[in-house]
Amino acid sequence: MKNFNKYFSLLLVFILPGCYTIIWSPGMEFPGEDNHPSTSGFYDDYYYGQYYDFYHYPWWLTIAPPLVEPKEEYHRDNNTTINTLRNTGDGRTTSSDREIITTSSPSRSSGNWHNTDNSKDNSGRQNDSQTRGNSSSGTTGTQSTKSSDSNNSIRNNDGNRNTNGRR
Amino acid sequence: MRFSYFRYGKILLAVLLICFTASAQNVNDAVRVGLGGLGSNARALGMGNSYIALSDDASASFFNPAGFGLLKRMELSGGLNYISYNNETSFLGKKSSSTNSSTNLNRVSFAFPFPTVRGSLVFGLSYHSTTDFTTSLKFDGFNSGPTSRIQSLLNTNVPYDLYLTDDDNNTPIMGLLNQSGDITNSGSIDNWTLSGAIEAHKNLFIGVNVNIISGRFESISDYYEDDTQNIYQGETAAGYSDTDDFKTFYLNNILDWDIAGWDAKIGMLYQFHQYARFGLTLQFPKTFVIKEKFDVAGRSIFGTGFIAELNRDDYRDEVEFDIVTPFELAGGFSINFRGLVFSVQGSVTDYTQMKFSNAKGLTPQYIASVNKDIKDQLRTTFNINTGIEYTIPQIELRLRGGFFTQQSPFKDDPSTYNRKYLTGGIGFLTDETIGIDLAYARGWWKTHGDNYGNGESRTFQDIVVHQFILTSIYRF
Repeated sequence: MKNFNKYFSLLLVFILPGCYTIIWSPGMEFPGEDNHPSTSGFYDDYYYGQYYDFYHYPWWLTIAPPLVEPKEEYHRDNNTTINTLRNTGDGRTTSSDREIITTSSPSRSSGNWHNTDNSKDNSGRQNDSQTRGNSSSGTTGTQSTKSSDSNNSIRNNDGNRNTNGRR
Repeated sequence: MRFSYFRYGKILLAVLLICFTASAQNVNDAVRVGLGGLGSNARALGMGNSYIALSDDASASFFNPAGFGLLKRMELSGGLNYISYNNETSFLGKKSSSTNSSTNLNRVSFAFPFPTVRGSLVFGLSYHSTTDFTTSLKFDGFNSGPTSRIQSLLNTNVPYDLYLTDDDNNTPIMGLLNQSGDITNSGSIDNWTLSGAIEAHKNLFIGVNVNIISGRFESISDYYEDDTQNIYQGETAAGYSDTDDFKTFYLNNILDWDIAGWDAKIGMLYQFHQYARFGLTLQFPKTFVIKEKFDVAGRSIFGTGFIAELNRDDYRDEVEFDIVTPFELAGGFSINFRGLVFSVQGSVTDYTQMKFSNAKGLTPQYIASVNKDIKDQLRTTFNINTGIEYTIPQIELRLRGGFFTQQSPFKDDPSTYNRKYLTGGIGFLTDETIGIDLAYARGWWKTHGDNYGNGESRTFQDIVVHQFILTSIYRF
C-alpha cells in the first residue's frame, strides 16, 4: 500500500498537467483543416513524402464533420401558453403576479363617483370600459369591485376548498 | 527399486532434496525472466531497438507509452517473428553445435486517437510478445577428471535408486566418463497491454501502460554419462551382481513454467519542433507469478543387460513462486535531418534488486539464500542502443541499420559475454495507409554453463542468433 501511494503520487505528477489537451465534444466546432492540433510535424513531406500524412494527418479530417446545429436555448417563460397552463390552478401565485387592488370607500349613493383619485378621469370612456366589464351584473359597478372579483377569482381558484357563501 | 528400511526412510528425504538440487530455483531463473527481450516491431529492431525517442506507432506499448500521443490516425498492426538460435559449444576440448528455431505471431495492436481541438489523447490495446526463450545446447566430451554427475547427486537418492551405489550410498564411480547431452528451451513471455497517452503540454507527451503478463517456458534436458573406456567392470552396487560392468547413466529433466504476472510503465516524450525528440521511461518492477512443474526420469544400464529406472512419481515436483524484477530507467534521443533519423538510447537496470518471493513448496530459508545469491552474483547493467533510418521519399522506401548491446547481468562476466546485435531493415508505404517493415538482427555472445559443480563439467558456448520480424501497419 505504501508503494502504491508512492506510484500513484508519481503518476499524478505526470497526469495533472494534462489539461493542455482539449478533446472535441458535441457542441464544439469540429476540428478541421484550419484548427486541428498543431503538434510539430517530425516527418515533413519534402523529405518523407507520403510518410508525412501517414504520421501527421488526423483521421478525423478525413470524415465529414458531424452536423451539430447550435441548439436554440429554450425558455419556457417565453411560451405564453405553456407558461400560463403550468403556473395556474396549482396553488398560490407569486406576489409579483398580483395586480394592485384599489378599493373604493363605501358609499350609500351608488352611481356617483366619489373617489377623488378617479374624479378627474370620470369620463365616458372610462365609464364605458367599466360598464363593459360589468355587463353581466347590470349594475354600475366600480373599478374596485370589478378588480376585486377578478383577482379573487385568481386568488381563490387555487384547487382548495371554497368558502361557502363568502365568495 | 531396491528396498531396505534405511533406504525407504531416505526416499522421503530424497524427494525433498531433489527440490533443492535438481530443480532448485536459482539465479538463472531470475535472469531468464529479468533480461529484456527484443520486442515485436520491425522498424524498431531495424534501428537497433533504439526507439524510446521515436515510438510513433502502436509498439509504443513496449518501448515508450508516451509515443501513443504522437498517433493521429487509428492503427491496426501485427507481425510475425522468426528466431534461429545457434550454439557452438566447446566441451572438454570437443566441439558440438545445435540449433533451435521458432516462428510465432508476435503482435496484434490497435490504437485509437480521440479527435481533439488541441493536444492529443490516444488509447491503445496490444497483445505482444517480448521475450523468446528459444535456446539450445549440445555437448559431448570425455571428462578425464575425478568427478561426475553421479557423484554430484550422492546427496539425493538418484544414484541409489539406479544401483549406482551400495547399500551405504558409496559408489565406485570416480569420474573418467564420457559426458554428453542436450538442453532445448522454448516458450515466450507475452503481454496484454492497455496504454494511454496525452499531450500534457505543447509537444510534451505523457504515457502510461498497464501490462498483464502470460507466458510459458519449457526446458527439456537429456544428460548421459557413459563408460566409454570400459573402466568400471566390477559390481557398481556391491552385493548386486546384476550391476557388473556399468555402461550408462541417463537423466532427463523437464521443467515446465506457467507464467503470469503484471507490470506498469510510464513514459515521457518531448518533441523539439520537427528536429528532435527526447524520451524517458520508467519500467516499474515486473511481478512474474510462476507455477513450476518439474519431472525427472533416469536410468542406468549395465553390461549384464540389467536396466534400472527411476520411479518418476518419486521425482515429480510442483512449486509456486514469484520473481520480481527491478526498476528499469531508460532514456533516448533522436534527431531528424533531411530524411535521416538518428536515434540513441541507454538503459540502466540493477539486477541485484531482483528477488524471489511468495514461495509455495519452498522454505523461506531457501528463498532467502537464493536472494542472497542474486545480490552476490549479479550487477547493475548499462545497455546502449543506436539506430539510423533514411527515407527515400520518391519511392516511399526506408532503409535502416542499428547496433545495440545487452550487458551480461552476471558480476564477473567479461565483455565477450555481453549480448551484441547488429540489425538492419527496410520499410515501405503504400497509399499512405499500409506500411510494411522487415527487420533482421544478428546477435552474438559467449556464455558458459555447468552440468554440475563449478567448472568441473563446463560448456563454453558461442551463440549466434538470427532473428527476423515482419510488421504490417494499417492506418486509417
